[in-house]
Amino acid sequence: MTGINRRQFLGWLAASSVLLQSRSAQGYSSKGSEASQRFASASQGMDGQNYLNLFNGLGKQLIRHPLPCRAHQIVSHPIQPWLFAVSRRPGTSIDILDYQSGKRVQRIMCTDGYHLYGHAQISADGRYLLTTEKSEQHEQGRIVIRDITINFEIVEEYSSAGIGPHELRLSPDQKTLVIANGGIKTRGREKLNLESMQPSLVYLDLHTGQPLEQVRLPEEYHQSSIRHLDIAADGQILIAMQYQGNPGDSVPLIAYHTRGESIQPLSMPSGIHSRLNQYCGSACFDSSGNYAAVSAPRGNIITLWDMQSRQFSKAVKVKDACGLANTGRPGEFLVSSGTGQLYMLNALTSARPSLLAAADNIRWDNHLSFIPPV
Amino acid sequence: MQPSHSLTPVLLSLSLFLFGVGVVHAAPTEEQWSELNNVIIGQHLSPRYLRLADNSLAMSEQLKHLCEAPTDQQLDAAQQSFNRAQASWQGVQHIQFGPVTLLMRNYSLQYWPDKKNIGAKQLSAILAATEASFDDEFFRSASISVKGFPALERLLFADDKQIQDRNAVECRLANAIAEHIYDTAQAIHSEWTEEARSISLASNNTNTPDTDTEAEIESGFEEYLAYETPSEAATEFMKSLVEPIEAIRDNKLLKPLDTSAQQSRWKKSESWRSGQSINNIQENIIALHELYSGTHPVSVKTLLEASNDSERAADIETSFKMITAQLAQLPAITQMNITAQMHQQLMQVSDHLKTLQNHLELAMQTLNIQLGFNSRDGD
Repeated sequence: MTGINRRQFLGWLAASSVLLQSRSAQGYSSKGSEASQRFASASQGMDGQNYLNLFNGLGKQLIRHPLPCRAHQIVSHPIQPWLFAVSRRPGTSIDILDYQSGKRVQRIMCTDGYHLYGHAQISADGRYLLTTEKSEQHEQGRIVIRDITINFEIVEEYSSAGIGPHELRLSPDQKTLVIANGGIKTRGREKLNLESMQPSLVYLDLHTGQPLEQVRLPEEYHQSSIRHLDIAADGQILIAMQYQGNPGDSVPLIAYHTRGESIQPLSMPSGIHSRLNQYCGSACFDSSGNYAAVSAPRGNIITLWDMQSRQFSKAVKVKDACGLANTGRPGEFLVSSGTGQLYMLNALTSARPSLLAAADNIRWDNHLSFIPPV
Repeated sequence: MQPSHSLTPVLLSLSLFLFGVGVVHAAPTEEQWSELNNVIIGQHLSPRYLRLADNSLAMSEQLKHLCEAPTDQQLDAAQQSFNRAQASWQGVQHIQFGPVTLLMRNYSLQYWPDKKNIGAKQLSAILAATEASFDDEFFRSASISVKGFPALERLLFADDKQIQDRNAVECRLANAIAEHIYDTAQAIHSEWTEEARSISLASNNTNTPDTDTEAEIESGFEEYLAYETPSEAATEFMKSLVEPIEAIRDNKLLKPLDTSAQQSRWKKSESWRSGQSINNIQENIIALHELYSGTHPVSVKTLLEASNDSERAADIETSFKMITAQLAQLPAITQMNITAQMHQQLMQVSDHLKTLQNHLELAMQTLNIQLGFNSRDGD
């Protein structure tokens, strides 16, 4: 990281929020017909090979790009036709694919002694790539910021203010980074501190790297790992958790948060809660921000929520489903499953989820992403 | 008993890709899965839940006798009845879907492992309230850690034998827990009638996915429990066969055994108070073996043979027999110190369980059963 580049990064932060906010909003409002929509997900073939997949809103595959290791989240560049396949923990590479040419743009490698947690964000002007990472030198997680315009050079690095950061989101005004610190110290994929883990939701000032707010669940729920989140246009955060304690314990698994408040668990019927198997995989607001979906692949369930009233709406059975993306239509979500199927699901209707596509030779991985047009 | 999630499925699928190319296996048809589901329910699952209910009832009656006449003989009889009922639970513990999961009955029957010693704390608090009434309302609101076998074991096998004081709260509570276990077991057995109906209604048509039945809208448990295809229901039975192996190995053997006899802590084992930890594993393996090859005229083993994988089918059968024989040779561990010889023998069992697990995982590939991707190895 050079001093000049860091100054450029700070200067960018001061000047960019209005432009970026309008770009961010544009991404969702411009979703078109299903055939022209684009979604992306990591996947694994039945042969064990890992892929980055791009498909349209009808489920038709457009690109299947082999990856060197299993990826987790796919993020897209807002200006270039690029997809970033972020290796899942403890992978160290991000493959960048040009989905118009089908060629790999670059493979970014972590600094020695660092690994990824599978999630990234790109600033709305397309300049900065932000990742959650683990450094051997630091107990707490790292937020690593790379300047895409200067060959992905690292220009800033912050503490995530917690152990085991996982998913992160930029606030709509691009000034704040919201981080799910899962709280779990790991070596490879081995979990080392389940008895003492302290997950938290952190709001980080992107300008200074200082925590603006850090919230936790009550101590009795310290083993509910805050792992995945989504952010609505009004800044409301939806949280999906994974409980690391006894499977028989009754603990919050889905919650929401607004700045200045405590984390508020979302309640659901006990018969549904007990079937989530203590594990939620993805959280997603719909395009209106009024509805949300949270997947629970170990329970083969998608829960749907009315986020205006913060009430449980319904639970839908979809086998091994985890990936969620909003389609741009209010109340509607695209769902991907480990069985190779894609479904359309609507929180506003009582209609059954409709099967969009099915493939015998593919397992859709944890996360599904809407790819805005560039 | 929960499966621990690992990289095993991924590594196994990779190894199958590397070494299994060229081997042609014909996966079972939906009709074959349907037949297997029926015989598993009729010959394996239902009789085992019925046995759990019967032995729980006998335990409940024996505890009544104990509380009426708390002699050493009655205590011994109550303890024996506990051991039989608990063994029945161990014989169906591997079924972790369907009615047993409703409102966490599975964990209510047995809250274990209890790493934070919650059961002891909750039990102490309850016993301190000597006038407490242990009625339905109590069990609706009580911690699940005090509703099942571990809590009852603490009461029945306590060194102070407080349960032999007929006026003590211990006896009333033990009696109530035994009745609650019986009620739960009976309800699960009864509810499997409906679950079996749901399974039998699963559509046989999987070639053309029907958008109306590919997923179920949750509007109640009945609809929620529906299965799309016989193979989907069979997948739950296959999970019940494969996933407990790793959990038995990790939780019931490796954790208490540690790395050596000196390091071992048998108090981390499942039922050390009653001296049933080894017997529990025996019951688990016997049940899994039955699920694998004990149903007629079709079984997982015969489907594997019909899928041109007779060699693996035989290897799995041999593994089950070998582990069963190894466990049968072991004495019950009643002292908390493990000898070096015992440690070595149990580690051998652990190794064979690992081999068995690998065989079973590969067998699932042959049978074209996906046990889960995101559900087993997510992040």
